[in-house]
Amino acid sequence: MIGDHPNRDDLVAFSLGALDPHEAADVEAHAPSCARCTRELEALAPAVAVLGESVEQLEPPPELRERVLAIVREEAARTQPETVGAGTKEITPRPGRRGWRGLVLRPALALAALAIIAAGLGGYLIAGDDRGGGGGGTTVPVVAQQGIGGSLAVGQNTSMLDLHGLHRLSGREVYQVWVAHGSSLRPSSDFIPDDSGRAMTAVDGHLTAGTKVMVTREPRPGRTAPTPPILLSATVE
Amino acid sequence: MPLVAREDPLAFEVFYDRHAGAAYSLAYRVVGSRTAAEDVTQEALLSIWRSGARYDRARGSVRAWTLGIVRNRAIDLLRKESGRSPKLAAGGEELLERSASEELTDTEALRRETAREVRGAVKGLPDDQSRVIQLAYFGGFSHSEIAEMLNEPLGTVKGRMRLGMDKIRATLAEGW
Repeated sequence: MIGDHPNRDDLVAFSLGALDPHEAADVEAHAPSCARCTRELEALAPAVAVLGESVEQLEPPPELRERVLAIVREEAARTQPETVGAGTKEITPRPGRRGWRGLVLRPALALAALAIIAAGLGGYLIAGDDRGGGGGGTTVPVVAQQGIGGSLAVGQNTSMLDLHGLHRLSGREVYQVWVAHGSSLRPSSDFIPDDSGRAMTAVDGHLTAGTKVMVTREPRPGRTAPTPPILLSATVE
Repeated sequence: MPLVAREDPLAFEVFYDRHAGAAYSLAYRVVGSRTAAEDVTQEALLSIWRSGARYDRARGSVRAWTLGIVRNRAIDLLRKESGRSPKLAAGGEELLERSASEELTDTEALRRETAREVRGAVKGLPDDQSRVIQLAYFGGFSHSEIAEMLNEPLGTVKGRMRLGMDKIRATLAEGW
């Protein structure tokens, strides 16, 4: 550990960007190797985020979107000419690299994703007894209530919850995925099931042993703390 | 974010639509001009596009991480333009908001409603705590600069920051 523990006042000031440069440098040198300070800064992060989100919301001009996305497409086309064309709407799939999130982000591909799972890229799902294959994934049983069932397919960098029996939501309600490990708890993706009560959603990040993935029903997206009850949970072994 | 990190422009488009409004709003709150807010938002979002792999979930949500980058860019701009004071009043923004498009998308409406809700957590603070936090976060002032500006002991300023942030945390824990 580098340097002395900063006091709480200084950690709060640091999280607000309010330390003088030399003080901030001390915290930056110390905190990464100090579990206590790291925990405290992580705990402050949601409160700092609230400040950023508390301002009056304005609509950015459409020209800004056009300008930024034009630059992005141009740069993508320059670096990946073989897979992505500037301004195109289709991307050449790169199995094993893209992860699951993109499928969730693009609903049009959701059915294709289901087919893929059923057909055998789903080796991902059935690889629980074969850690040498199927991309190194494993499937974790889900403990659920209220008639909900499903599975958690754990991948190296992204995991996938495949659920059924979900109840219909109303208003702004969403199902929210939470990831808990030790004393930390973070929100992951939120989702809305289809008419048949099925949903697939990605859980980003590498899930280490002991990590628990949970789902709650929330009155609106963006909640920072779960609303009981926990509808289902799966613990990574 | 994994797809943005892999330079997937479609993933970035989704990212833009989710976060650009909040980013632009925060930038405007700090720099106080629509043109400058556009520049800050563009620079910040493109820096994310070019270095998306640096996102670390341990540091909070994608939104929090994005707004942190926007805030830092905006403060940098303020500091470059020496002599500018931070905007502490919010009066003009309501007018600008009213002049925005009347037809809001669902996402836009949700974003505004969420912002109104989180504002409640901040507005519930006593004035002295709110003031030091706003000077720091939106104005980019250090605690020693704030102490000098308010003619208060440094320890008092630090204590107000801590008390205010603890109250916001407690409000969040209660689920608003």
